[in-house]
Amino acid sequence: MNDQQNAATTPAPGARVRSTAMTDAGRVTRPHPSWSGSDLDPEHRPSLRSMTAEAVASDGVGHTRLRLEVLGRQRASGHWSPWESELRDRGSEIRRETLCDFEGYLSRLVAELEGHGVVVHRVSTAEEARETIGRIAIEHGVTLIAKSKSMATEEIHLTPHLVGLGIDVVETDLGEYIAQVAGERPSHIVGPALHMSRQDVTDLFSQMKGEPLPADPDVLAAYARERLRADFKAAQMGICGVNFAAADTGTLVVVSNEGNVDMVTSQPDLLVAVMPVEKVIPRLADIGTLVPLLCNAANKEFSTAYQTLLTGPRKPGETDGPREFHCVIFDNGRTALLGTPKEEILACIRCGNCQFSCPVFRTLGGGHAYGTTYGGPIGAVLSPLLGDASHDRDLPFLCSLCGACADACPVKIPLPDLLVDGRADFEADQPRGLETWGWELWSWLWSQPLLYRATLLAARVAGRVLPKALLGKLPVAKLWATGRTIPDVSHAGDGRALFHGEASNRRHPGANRGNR
Amino acid sequence: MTVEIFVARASALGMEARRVTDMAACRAVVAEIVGHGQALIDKVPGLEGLDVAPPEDPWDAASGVSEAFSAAAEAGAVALIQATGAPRRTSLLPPNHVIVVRAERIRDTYQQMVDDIAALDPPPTGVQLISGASRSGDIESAMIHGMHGPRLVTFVIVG
Repeated sequence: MNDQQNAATTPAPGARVRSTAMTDAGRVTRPHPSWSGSDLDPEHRPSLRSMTAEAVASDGVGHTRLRLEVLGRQRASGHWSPWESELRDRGSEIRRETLCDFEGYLSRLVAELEGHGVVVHRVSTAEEARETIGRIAIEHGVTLIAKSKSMATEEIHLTPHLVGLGIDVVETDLGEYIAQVAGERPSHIVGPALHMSRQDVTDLFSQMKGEPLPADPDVLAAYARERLRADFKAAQMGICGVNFAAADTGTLVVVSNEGNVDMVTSQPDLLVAVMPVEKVIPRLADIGTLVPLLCNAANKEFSTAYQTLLTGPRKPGETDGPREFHCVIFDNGRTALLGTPKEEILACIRCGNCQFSCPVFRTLGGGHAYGTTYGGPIGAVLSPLLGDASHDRDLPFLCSLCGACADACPVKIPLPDLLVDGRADFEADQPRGLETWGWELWSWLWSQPLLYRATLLAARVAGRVLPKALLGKLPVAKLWATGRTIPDVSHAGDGRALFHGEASNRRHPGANRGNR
Repeated sequence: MTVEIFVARASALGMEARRVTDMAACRAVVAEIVGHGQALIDKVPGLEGLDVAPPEDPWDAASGVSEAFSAAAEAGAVALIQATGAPRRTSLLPPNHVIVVRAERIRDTYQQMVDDIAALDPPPTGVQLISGASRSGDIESAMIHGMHGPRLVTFVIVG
């Protein structure tokens, strides 16, 4: 009896359950740039320069930017009221406490999960993670998977892998569903379809339905609801992400507003929860701080409509919940950051507040033009550090170093510092060309007082003797002068007198005071 | 005062809140809300034998009735615990969800409610913390109610 109850049922051979929600998604012809597609191959994505240039010139980007700016202003993402500040302090401490004994908490989590009967798969790479999940699905004869929102599954490119195995996968979060139907990646961590207008969604759903729908969010949502409900009911397997994984009780915590997480984690017989290692938290009681902090930063609400706490598969006598419960915990480059200044990024709770606060993110109309799973400040820091992300290492340059993200971060990650570090990493990897040698030569020249004065003298002479038009045509100056006005160098070095004065004052601080 | 804050927060979040003095009155209110439609009713002491038809397919139920294990006034939130006789679908599949909340179970803070749950040993298989009807803001931030779960959530506070 127990055995029968605890093993997920395998459907009879030949019974191929298919997705209702994705029926006729093939009719959708809404064009989108290759770099926003869900099928973007990170190895062969266009250069950052061309993606961003295309993004700022694209139709509708102004509309999206305005929407993001209004949202950003409404949220006042860098402002923390006294009680919010207290919450932020506590949350930051809990995340740092986790980092102090990361392996300890992680092993405790795995032991607790296994104690409850969860099958834990701790894997290293993104490839291993998606193959593990594909294997679980195939072994159980699964043909339809209902999925709730998870950036982790985006990171490991899970859906294309499962679809490649002949399995229907349907995103059940409304925003994710809209993005999936459009063939696009989520453009924001908590608002996957933020880049689309009401009219865009209307066009999308109308094309899929084959007849026009009104541009009314209630009607559009009802259309999606009905199609997705059929899939919740029929799916043989659910896949969910994880917001927090409590090490002391082995409980996985997932937040949502729509209730799709509860559906996906309670109705299908087979459940796979997917999480990167840093989702671990020391104690279940910590969600008393972390859930309100996450919900406040993500959506300016005290808590989402639902927080789902999952501890193991269904017990005898219970009539729903998964009969078989797997948890895939993947690393993908994260634990290598422990003990370095970059480990700070593992404190992230994926609220998306840094994205709302970022002027570059808003100008680009969302995260697509970053060409990776995670856009915005968090993406520009994290993406280059993940797995084999050699192609994403220039992302930290998509930043004006304004510092808004640091103010917006609920767990106080020093994002601007990490962005500067990321730039340094990128530069350190560049081949040493003529430019590098040039800078080194210059550095050496100006370290010699005599040579330094000689260059200043040369500049003054040149500034007096040569006409400006000619100055701008000199070999190195020419590169610099493109798009800039050549300054007057006939008095180069005059500022030195000032510095000398200051320096002598500093040397005798008592002198000034004595004179007063 | 705690109960008043709970009611105010729940109303602000778009939920209905009704207060009754005892279980007999609660039973009458639940019967009135559920009517004679098909309903999923959890094992709630004092609500046995309500005149409702259990649906053939739980997905067709019009109402669900559950009891809260704990609640948090500041969040207008309740905690439901999955157990024998209290499946997770009750709060999920029907468009109309009624939650019986005993006044003495209402705590001041969200943290206290979480502590109540964290103190359970062994931890329950499933816990749902609920504050509001199912909602979504994914189409241009326009708020939609009843996305996948209930459109209407009613608290019946006893005591």
